[in-house]
Amino acid sequence: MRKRVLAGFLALFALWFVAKALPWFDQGRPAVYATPTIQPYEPGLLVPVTIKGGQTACTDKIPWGPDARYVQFTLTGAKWPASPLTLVASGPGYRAVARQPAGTPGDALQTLPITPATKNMTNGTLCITNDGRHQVMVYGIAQGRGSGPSTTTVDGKPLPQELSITLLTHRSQSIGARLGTIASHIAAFRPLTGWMVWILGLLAVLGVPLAVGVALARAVAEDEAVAPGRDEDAQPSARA
Amino acid sequence: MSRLRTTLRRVPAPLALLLAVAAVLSLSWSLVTAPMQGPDESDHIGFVEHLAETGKIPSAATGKGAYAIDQQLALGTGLLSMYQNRLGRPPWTSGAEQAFRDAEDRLPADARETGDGPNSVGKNPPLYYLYEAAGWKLAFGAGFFGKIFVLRALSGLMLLVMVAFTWLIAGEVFRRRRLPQTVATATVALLPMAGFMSGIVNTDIMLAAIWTAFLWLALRTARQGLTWQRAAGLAAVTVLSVLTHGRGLALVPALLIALVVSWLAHRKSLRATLQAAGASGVVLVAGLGLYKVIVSAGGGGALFGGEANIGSRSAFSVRQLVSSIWQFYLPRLDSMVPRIGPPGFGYRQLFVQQYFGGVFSSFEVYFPYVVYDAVQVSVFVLLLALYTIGAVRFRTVWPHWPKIAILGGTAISLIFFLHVASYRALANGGASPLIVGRYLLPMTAIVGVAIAAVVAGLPRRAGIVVATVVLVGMVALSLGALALNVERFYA
Repeated sequence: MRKRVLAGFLALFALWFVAKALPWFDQGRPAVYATPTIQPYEPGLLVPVTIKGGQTACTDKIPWGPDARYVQFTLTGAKWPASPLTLVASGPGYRAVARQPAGTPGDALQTLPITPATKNMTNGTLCITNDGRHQVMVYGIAQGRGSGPSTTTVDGKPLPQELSITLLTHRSQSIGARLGTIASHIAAFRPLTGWMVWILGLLAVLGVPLAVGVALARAVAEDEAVAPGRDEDAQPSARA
Repeated sequence: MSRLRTTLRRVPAPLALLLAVAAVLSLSWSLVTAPMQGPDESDHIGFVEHLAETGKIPSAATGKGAYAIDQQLALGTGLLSMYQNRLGRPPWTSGAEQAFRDAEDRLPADARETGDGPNSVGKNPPLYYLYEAAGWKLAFGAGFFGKIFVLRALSGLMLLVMVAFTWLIAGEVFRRRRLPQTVATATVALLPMAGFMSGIVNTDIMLAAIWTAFLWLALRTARQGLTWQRAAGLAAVTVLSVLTHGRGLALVPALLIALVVSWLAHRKSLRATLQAAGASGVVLVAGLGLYKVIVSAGGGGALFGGEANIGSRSAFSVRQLVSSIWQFYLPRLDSMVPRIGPPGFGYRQLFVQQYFGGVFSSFEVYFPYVVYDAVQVSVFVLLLALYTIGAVRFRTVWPHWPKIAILGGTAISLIFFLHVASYRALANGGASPLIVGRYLLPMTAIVGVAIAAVVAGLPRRAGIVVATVVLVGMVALSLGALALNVERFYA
């Protein structure tokens, strides 16, 4: 009976794992490298950064690195089609240029590939130049709880809001293919290594169901070992 | 050493396994939730740091800043801007980590002594913060994030306390029947909200642990009889609850229920009864007096203000309160005025979404609604089964009325207290109903016992099948919730 209970428990768990957990590991998602500034998650936080024709908006403290391969931003609320834009990523010993052609649809997240830096840095800059005649507006976020350590300027003049920028490593990649990276993300700022996170992850995914299944099976076996006459729960007196 | 080994060998295997499960899940939760992203976690950490570094309680109303300089520095790395924003990620590059360490090393020696307030949790009683402050001090060589790791691990120990006491509670209820005992305990170890709250810095997990200990002591007292020592012990645990959070006051009615039930079950002499009543009364008064002294010394706020809302003098209408509670669970009757507070927040949101299923981080991480639908159906079926088993096996169940009265009375005391506090907050003009799923954590052991009672009441094979399905479902829910948080913060 004990083995049957354990087998039944693990079979049911395996069924769930194959049906629900494996697709989760396999599903592609944007692989975020960093969010030096934040995309607004509700309209109340949205304060667009306006860039007139010929102007350049820059944001500092961008953490460029070998895995920062895409820049994400969102255009909004200007005349369409939007003007062409030039993005310049720079930092100590690093400069890369990407171009966004005219005619970008509004309120859609734009993802531009950019040549990554060869080494990690925390004090990089991203500049967006409006190469057209019409102004463009880019998603920004108000200062306060939503703002980060970066400062945004337009033609060198500081703004109260921040340009919303997300850096990606891949446009889409499964979590299963990034487990090592995710483990190192979790270990960062903690007295742990990625390997320790890996071990804990394995304990959670494999050890927890196994331990609960064994506990259940042991409980069933212990109940079986107790003679029916010793089942105290059947005794009616609460004062025993 | 051999004595310790003997003691450890006496721990039943299912309990040892479930303690290990709880430890793994709690540690996992502490890692998949980015620092300071739990509900009010920054403020709780601010309280702990100020208490540990200065020996003083931060003010709820005044002061130069809620957080010490090192915490402000940590929040400035992007942890504040990503709060409740699913599109933000914590810093994780080696460059960002090194930059923070360099900045932390440059801080002045007294940087950790700032953060005197105003702190939103400054009105809370100090017990949990004293416990965590000890951890802060013990981690003397660690930086700010290393200390948070330790604080969260200490919260995790509270889950182990809950699991251990639930095992004992289920032992009192089901005696030597291991299957229901294991199911009840596993429910606590696997409930996602319990794991989540044990992985962050927040008073609620200690409150839940204390309530679980109280329940065991109360059940034991009801079985063995009321003595002045047991009454004093129950009152002492109640004082611990009151010293942990304002919501801990809800244990006072549960204490009265436990004392009355224990007396009724054994009908001791008048002298013994008076001794027991006196002992619990003295301990309660002494505990509350101690709290008052601590709060006064720390310059803290009103007695149990904030979330417990006991100090406020708002308008109070019993009729409106009853109507409000009715409409929380059932459709509004024609004779009732609409319930005050935000629309669309009722039993499903509180019990199903925020407690049984769970919402994580600071409410921005949640399951797809189909999961909550499945949880709701499961809860409904289990409640129906519990009722049916109780009705069909009434003669077998009735002799256990003291246990049922204590467990049921404690759950009702908590839920009613939360409704009253919520009603007072809303009637006082507040926008938030001040009632969320994690506030129900103190009754998790009772939920576990209720599920286990269904398993125990069914024929043996059916009980095993139900136990298997429930526990696989809870393992899936728990791992699924962890996965959601990994995706939210680190993917």
